[in-house]
This record gives sequence, C-alpha cells and structure tokens, in this order.
Amino acid sequence: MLDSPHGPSFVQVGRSDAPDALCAVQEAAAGLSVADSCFVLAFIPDALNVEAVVAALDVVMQGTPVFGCTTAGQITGEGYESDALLLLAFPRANFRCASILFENIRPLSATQVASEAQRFVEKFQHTARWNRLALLLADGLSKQEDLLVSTLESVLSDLPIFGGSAGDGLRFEQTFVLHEGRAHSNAAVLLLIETNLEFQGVGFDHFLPVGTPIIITDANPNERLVYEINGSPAALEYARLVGCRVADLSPEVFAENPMLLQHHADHYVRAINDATDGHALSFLAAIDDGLILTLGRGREILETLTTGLSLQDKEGHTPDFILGFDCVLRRLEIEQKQLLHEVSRVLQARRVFGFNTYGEQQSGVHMNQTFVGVAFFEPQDRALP
Amino acid sequence: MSLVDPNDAPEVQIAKQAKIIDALMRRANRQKDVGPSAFRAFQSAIELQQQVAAQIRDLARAETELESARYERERTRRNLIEALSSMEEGFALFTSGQLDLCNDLFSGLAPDIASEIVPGLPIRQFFDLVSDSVHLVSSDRGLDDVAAALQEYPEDSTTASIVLELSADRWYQMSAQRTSRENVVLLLTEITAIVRQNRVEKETLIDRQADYLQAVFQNMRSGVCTFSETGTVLMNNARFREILDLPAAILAPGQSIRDLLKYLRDHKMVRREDLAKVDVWRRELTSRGWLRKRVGHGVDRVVEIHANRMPDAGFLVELKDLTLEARTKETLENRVMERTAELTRANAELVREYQEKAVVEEALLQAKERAEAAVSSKTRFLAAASHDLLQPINAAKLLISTLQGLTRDTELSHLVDRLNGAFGSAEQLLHSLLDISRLESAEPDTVTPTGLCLAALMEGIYADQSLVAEQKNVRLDVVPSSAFVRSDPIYLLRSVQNLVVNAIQYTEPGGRVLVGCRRKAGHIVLEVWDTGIGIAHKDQDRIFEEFTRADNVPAGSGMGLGLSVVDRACRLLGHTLSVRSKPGVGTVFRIQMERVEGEREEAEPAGLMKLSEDTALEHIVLVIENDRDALYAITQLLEQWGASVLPAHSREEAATFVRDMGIPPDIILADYQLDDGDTGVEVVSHIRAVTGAHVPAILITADRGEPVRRDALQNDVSVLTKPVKLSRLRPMIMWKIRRFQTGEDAPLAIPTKVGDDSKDAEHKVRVPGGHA
Repeated sequence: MLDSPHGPSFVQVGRSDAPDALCAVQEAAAGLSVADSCFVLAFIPDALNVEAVVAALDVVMQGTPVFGCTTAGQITGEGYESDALLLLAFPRANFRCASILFENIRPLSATQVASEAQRFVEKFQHTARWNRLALLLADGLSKQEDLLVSTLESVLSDLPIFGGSAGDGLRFEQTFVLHEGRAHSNAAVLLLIETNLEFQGVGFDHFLPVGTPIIITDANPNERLVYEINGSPAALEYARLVGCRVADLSPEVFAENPMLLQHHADHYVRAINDATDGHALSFLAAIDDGLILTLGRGREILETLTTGLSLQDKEGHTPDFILGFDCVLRRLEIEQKQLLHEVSRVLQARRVFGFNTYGEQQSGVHMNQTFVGVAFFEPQDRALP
Repeated sequence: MSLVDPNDAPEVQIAKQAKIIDALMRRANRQKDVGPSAFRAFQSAIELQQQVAAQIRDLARAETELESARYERERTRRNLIEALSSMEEGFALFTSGQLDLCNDLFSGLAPDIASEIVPGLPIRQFFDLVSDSVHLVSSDRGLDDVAAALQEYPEDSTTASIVLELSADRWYQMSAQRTSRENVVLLLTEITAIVRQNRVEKETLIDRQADYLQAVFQNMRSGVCTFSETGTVLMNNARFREILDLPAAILAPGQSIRDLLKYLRDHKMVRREDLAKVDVWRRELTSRGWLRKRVGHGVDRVVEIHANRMPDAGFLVELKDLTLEARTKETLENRVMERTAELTRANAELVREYQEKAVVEEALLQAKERAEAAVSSKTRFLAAASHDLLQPINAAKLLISTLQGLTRDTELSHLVDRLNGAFGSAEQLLHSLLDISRLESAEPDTVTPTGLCLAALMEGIYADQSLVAEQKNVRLDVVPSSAFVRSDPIYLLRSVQNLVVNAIQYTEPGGRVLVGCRRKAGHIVLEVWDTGIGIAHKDQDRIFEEFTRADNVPAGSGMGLGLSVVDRACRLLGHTLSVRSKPGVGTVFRIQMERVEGEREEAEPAGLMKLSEDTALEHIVLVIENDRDALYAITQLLEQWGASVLPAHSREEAATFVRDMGIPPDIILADYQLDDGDTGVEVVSHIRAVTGAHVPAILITADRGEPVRRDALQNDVSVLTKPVKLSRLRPMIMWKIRRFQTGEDAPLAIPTKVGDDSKDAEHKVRVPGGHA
C-alpha cells in the first residue's frame, strides 16, 4: 500500500534538478498540460537564481498564473530533495483560483491586510457544491506570519487557510514569494482556491513537553529575539538545560530541542533559529516577554509522520495527493538521524508534494517544526440527500 | 531541574528569580493590552482554534447520533407496521389529526369506504365516512360526538369508547385514546361473538326466571295474586284461592277485580263494612305504595291482606289466614293475664314479709349493739378493777415481806407465810384477769409480734419457776433453744409461764416438768411436759374456758384462768395450741410458732430471776481485782451472800489459789484492767487452761467500750459494768453457775415417759385463722 504504482490523478507534477534555471523550468514543465491548468505552483531550490527562474517561467507558462516561493528543500515525487525545481499544475477541470499579493508586510498593517482580504474574498465567486480553501505563502524572514495569518483567519472566517513560509536553504538571508510571474520579498501571497475535490487539513508534530518551565525574562517580541531566559543569558541557559556547550549549539541541536508553548491540552512548537553573539536566541515563531515555555522531547519522527499521513475520506479512500508544508528543522532532524531515505519513501508512497519551510500556518496559527498539509481526495458522486 | 541554575551563587540565583518574577508580572499586566502584537495574534488564534476544534467534535458526535436515531426510527416504524398487521384488532394512529398508519383490519371495517382510509385522512372525515357507510346499522352514541370530543379536549387522555353495529349482525367496539397532544389511537375490537352470546344468555335467563317465579308463587305459604294497573288478574297461586275459598274461574288471568269483589259480596264472604272501605284502601295503596289490613272472612275467619304496588303500576295482593293464629293469641293473652295477677299477689306477700324481716333485723342489730356495749364496758371495768386491785396487793406484799423478816422463827411465822401465799394467789389471779381483759378488748395493738429469741424467754421461765418447783419437790428442767420465732414477747412469756405454773401445780411431789423446743418445717414447737394428774379426754376442750377446771383437779387450785389466757394469746398471735394428755400419766402442751431467721444475742438472765434473799451462794468464787479496797468490798459482800471467796490481786495470786485448792472454782469474777497490762479476760483464760475446766466467768469493768465487750464475749466471759448493781450481780452468778453445772448444750430429751402416742390422746384444741 505504501508504494502506489500510479501518480496522482488531479495534479500534474514536474521536477528538474538541472542547475540552469531555464533548463530546469523547461524540463519540469515538459510533462504538464499548462493550457489545461488553472494555476501552477513553483517551489524553487536555493541553488537556482530566483529572477532567472521567474523569467523562464514567464516564457514557458504562456500566461497560466504561477505562484510559489523559494524553499529550504523540496518534496517531489521522489521524497525529499534539495536542489530540484518542483512544479505542480492544478487542472482547470477541478480547480478555480484567485490570488492577492500583500507587499511590504514588515511591519504589518493588520487593518490594511484585513480590508484588502475582505474585498478580495467578496469578489471571489462561489461555485455551488465546490469546496473552498486558501493557501498562504509568506516571506520566511519577515517575522510577520503570526499576525498575518491570524488576521486573515479572522477575516476569512469560514475558509481554512494552510500556509508555509518561504526559505532560502538555511541561509536565512532573503526569501521570495512568486505572484503572477514575479518574485517578491517582504511580501506574502494568498491564493483562494475552489475545488470539486474533497480535502482534509493535515497538521502534526512529533514533540511532547518535558522538564521544568522556562520563563522568558527579556525579549524583543517583534524581532522574535530572546535575550534572557530564567534570568540568565538565553543561549547559556538553553545550553545548560539541553546539556551541551554553548559553542556546540547548532541548527541540529535547535531542531532536536525546540521549545513548546502549552495552551490547554495542546502545545505549539517555538523553534529556535539561531544563537546570536550576545547569547540571545532568535526564534522562528512568535514569542513574548514573560512567556512560560517548556522543552520539547521528540517522539519517533518516522512513526508520527506515517500516522499523520494515514488519512481516509468517508468512503475509506486514501488521498489522491497531499500538498505538504514541512518544516526544514524536521528535515534537519531526519537527516541527523539518517532517516532521509525512509521518510522519502513514506512521502513518495503517500504522494506528498511541497517544500521545506521556515514556518507553517494552519487555523490562523504560525508554528514551527510541524507538518502542515492539504490532502485531496477524488470527488465522490454526491447523491441528492 | 530547577528554574535557576543551582550552581550559581545564591545572590545570583536571587537576582535571576527576581527577573523571572518581574517578567511574569510584566506579561500578566500586558494581558489587558489591545493592539497588534505577533504573539497576541498567535495566542488569540490558538484559543480560537481550540474552540473550533471542540465545536467540530461536538458536531460530529451529534451527526452520528442523529444518524443512528434516524435508523432506529425507521426500524421502529417497520416493526410497528409488522406488529400491527399481526394484531387481531383494528388499529389506527392519527398524528396531528391525520391518519398516520393503520392495519388492514382497521381499513377493512366497512368495505364501501375501505379505499378512502389512507394515510393523511383527517380524523373528522374518517368519522364522517363511517357514519355515512351503508354498512353502519347503529352506534351507541354519535360518531360526531367522539370526533368532536377528541378535537375539543386535546388534553384529555381518557378513552372514548363507542359500540358500532354493522350489517350482517356484526358488532365492533371502537376505543379512541389520545396518547399525546398530537397522537390519537383508534382501536377496533370485534365483539360480535360476545354480543350474540349475551343475547342468547339473556333470553334463556328471562325464561328461566319466569319459570322460577311461577314455582315460587305456587309454593308460597301465603296466598298471592297480582293485578294489572287496570285491576285485571295477572297471576295467582292455589293458596290464594284456598284462603278465599274461590272457584278458579273467578281468578283466571284477565278477570277483573270488580268481579272478584262482587263474588265476595254476593257470597257474603266479606263484612259489609269492610267492603265499603275498598275505595279508601285503593287510594291508600296508590298514595302510600303499600297497604296492610286485617279483615274478617266468612263466619269466623280472619285474613290479613297485604297489598304492594308493583313497578309496572299494577299491584300484588298477599293473603294470610290468621284465624288459627288469632285464636291461639287470644288464649295466650288470657293465660298471661291470670299469671300476672298471681304474680302480683305473690309479690305483695313477699314485700310484706320482707318489711317484717327488716324490722326484726333492726331490733336484732340494736340488741347486738347494746350487748357489745355491755361487754365492752364490762371488759373495761374488769381491766380497771384488776389494775386498781393490784396496787394495794403489791403494798400488802411488801408489808408481808417486812412482817416475814420480823416474825422469822416465831410462832407467827407460819401464819405470815400462809398470808403471803394467799396474796400471791390473789396477785396471780388479778394478773390473769388483767391479761384476759386486755386480750378480750381486741384492740389491734394488744399484741405486737416481733422476731424474738426463745433462749432468753426460756431461761427467764426457769429462773422464775425453779424455786416454786423446788419448794414443791418437783424437778423442773428447761432446755433452752436459740431459735427465733415471730411472737409477742410479753404474752408468749405469760403463756409459757402459765403452762409451766400449771404443770408444776398439777404434778405430785417427786414428779417432773420439762420445757423444750422442736423444729418442725419452718415452725418451732415449744412443749411443756409434766408427769401430773393428766386431763380426761372429755375435759380437754373445756379447760381453755375461763373459770374451768378439770374434774380431777383438787380444790383450791386457783380460778382456772391460766389456760384461758394461753388460748387467747395464741389465737391472737396465730400460734397453734394443742394438748395431749392421759389421766394419771401426764400432759403435754404444745405451742407451734412461726420460725424466723435471727441472730442469737448473748442473752443475760438479768431481771428475770427472782431468788429469795436467803438463798445462800454456796459456791467458791475466785475474785481478781488489783484495787485492794474494791477487792475487800466485793469479798465482804460475797461472803455475806454465803460464798467462799478467793481474793486475788493478780494472775499469779489467782493461779496460786487454784493450784493450792486442787479443784477449779465455781466462778471467776475479774476486773478487766489489771496490773502490768494484764487483762481479766487473759487471766480467765489462764485459769481455765490451768484447771482444764471451762470455769464460768464474769468480767466487771468500768470500760464500756465495745472492744472490751467483744474480747470478753469471744472468750465466753459475761460483762457487767461498774458500778455493779448488786441486784444484777447475784442472779448472774447464780445463772452462770447453774448453766455450767446443768450443761448448756444438754440435748432435748424426754426425761420421763409421759402418756402414750395413741392418736386419740393427741387433741388439737383450736385451729387459728385458717391454718391447718
């Protein structure tokens, strides 16, 4: 069952690991019926020049709208890849789409975003018996995803929003989102999608809260910077709690030892991006001064992934494909544990397509170290009630 | 793991903790802030997310429940329809006034409307259809009413029931019940079989009842005839005709009562005055509903007519032939009257006799009262006289006593002694008289029974009577008993004394008198034996009467009051007195008394002994007294009384006397407090030990304390306190010595054979108050 002999029926997938942008685009788009597509999602590896890819897409796509972003890794039909351009073409027969670009999101004007989104969603015609959802792709270094997604969630109240933050292959320098053939930094793209497919949201992580509380005693919430925890310099205290030397702190350590925020029965991962020179810690999700966190202990990542992707619709069918936004820190941990091959096989078998993010959005919440996705199922003949 | 690195210096830890607190406080304060903040946005988003998740869960659950409920409902409905089809009754459910479901039996009630009974049919219309059906013959109430009632009173859940008769003699009962505000259930039960069966049973019953009635009619003792409203004969029995002596034709059904009356008149069977009242009777019957008359019939017959109105406005006439009854009654009444007259006379006689008797009774009562008063005054007089007479006799005795002293050894001496004896008898007689008068007075407190010890009493008797016996040369033996009895001390003493005095008196010199006790099942029997002249059987009843003596009693033996006193006292005290005697052999008197539990007290003979002054104390008396003057004085006194005295100052002196003498003294008198801490009791014990004899001893001491007394009594030493009364000392010495010599514990034995044990000699004299 894990190895499905067929590809998905309701999305066309093209990939290329050609180092040249034009070649890659041409190769990837070769198998796609661009003319019959409603829109195309492009996930660009760090290795390719964004502007070159954009220019190539403009030529190749012949007016079919292209959305996407730069990434910290791709999930193609082969599983995890680092240098492959991934194109996903959504057929017109099954999808309708509208888009809006939010520019200069840093700092974010919530009221402006809200009013623009409001107008935008009102214009989007509703087709009877089609399902609606929204995809959000945001600059992964903007640090505005929290506010952005919660604003959109409150405006698009009856519309589930799934999103991923763009990456730049762990360089943390500049990330881009693609909107109608152009690359934007400090921006976010919102896609409103209607489909006659059934879909289910997916979201899981693999951490459990452990240990004593950690209190943020000094921070800059806007920059997601934490200077002190438990009254000590943040990096030093974190190293003490994790049990390693400050000098040994690395993305891998951060990936394995995230902090969790508990809220009622649920917990939310606050991933650490980096340790600065002043022993501050920068985070990939919203934090606050005075916040109480705990360390997270990872569970079996392969198992949680398999379980999380084991979805069925009401009739018991498996998804046709899953659009996935997978945190790059998860991938780091997987690589660290040398599980890349196994995980890739699972992703392949479950027909997961997508990219490695700097953050994931679901239900109005921006998180880290999670897997967020949308599983699409073959539409069932809906008998009249 | 603690919040703060425990390896830090304490002040550093404190500083960190302060920072932590500060941060928490800052955050807590910021909770109220509004305005955009990434974290606040995140926080509100996750709260919302969790709420939504919860709602989705609820929704999913509700949907599942709804689904299963829907399935259940479908199934129930299917089951219901199946169940209805198999029912033997027609069933229909109307929901909100419209037919929801029904079974075939229901819809097939009337074939012409069956096709119209389909779901959706309004209930009102259903009833209209039924009432318009050609098959409906009748119903016991309007179908419209039922329909209206069901609609009008939707709250009323009671059942409305209606019986429908359909063509071909088919019957149905239709029950309508409102099971809820919306639902009405109609049940259709076929009752054809029941209706038909009822009908058959009813017809049979009516026939049977008619037969039964006819039979009852014919067998009645009275004559009965029923008439219709218009007065024609309906039914009658043979007895009716028999009483009236009528031909059957006159009373054939359909005949008029007028013909009957006419027949009666023509045959002069009814008195004219009775016939004249017929109209009056009829009105009476009509207005009151019943009528009862007694009429003469024919020449000498009496008939009672009893008429009652019947429910159908006809009437029933019942006749009873009372001729015989009337005659019997007359005879009876005559007899009753005669008997009553007799009784009245007898009663008057009785009343008169009773009155006479009452007069006699009254007279008797007065006589009795007079007699009682006389007796009472006589008794009082006797008591007063006896008492008053005793005073001068006492005085005379004292004078005689003096005279005896003066005339001792003169020729007058004999005379004085005779005089003394005569006064003694007179005194005795007076005492007896006084006793009898007291016992006769029947006052409740004459005797006061208490628990008392016989020992003291018997010792007293001995002390009193031993001298008399001695003087008469009669041997008197008293065997004291320590038993306790319930009796009056004065009268018991007097009784025993009298018996002993009598015994001595009637015993010839050289004879014996013995006093002793026996135990007998909860009782004590005190017995006085003598070897006297005895009492003849014929006298044994009489001897207890006053002033009576047996024939063989020598003259001058007194007035014979003694036994009378004994008898009266015993009766009052509830003792049984009996006598057994044989002339020439002897007599025994017995007093049987109730025994009680008691503790024997050391009985002293003090005051009970009356010894004449001149009886010499011819005994050896050992006196131990450390005070020389006291020793001299008591030695002088004792020697004057005639005793040989061994005066000792101490234990050693006393022991020396005894040793020198070689025999034990007859009695020891000892002071308690001796020299060198010695005590009298110890010396007594010592002397007893030395002599090997239990010498009687009296302790004379000024110490009235209980320890001394107890010490003495434990060693069998009597106690007298100083100053010693000589009147007590002398009798006590006498008593102690005598007791020692006769032996205190001498067994009760019959010393002499007195009489025989033949039954006729035993004679119970009186049985007091119900005791056997």
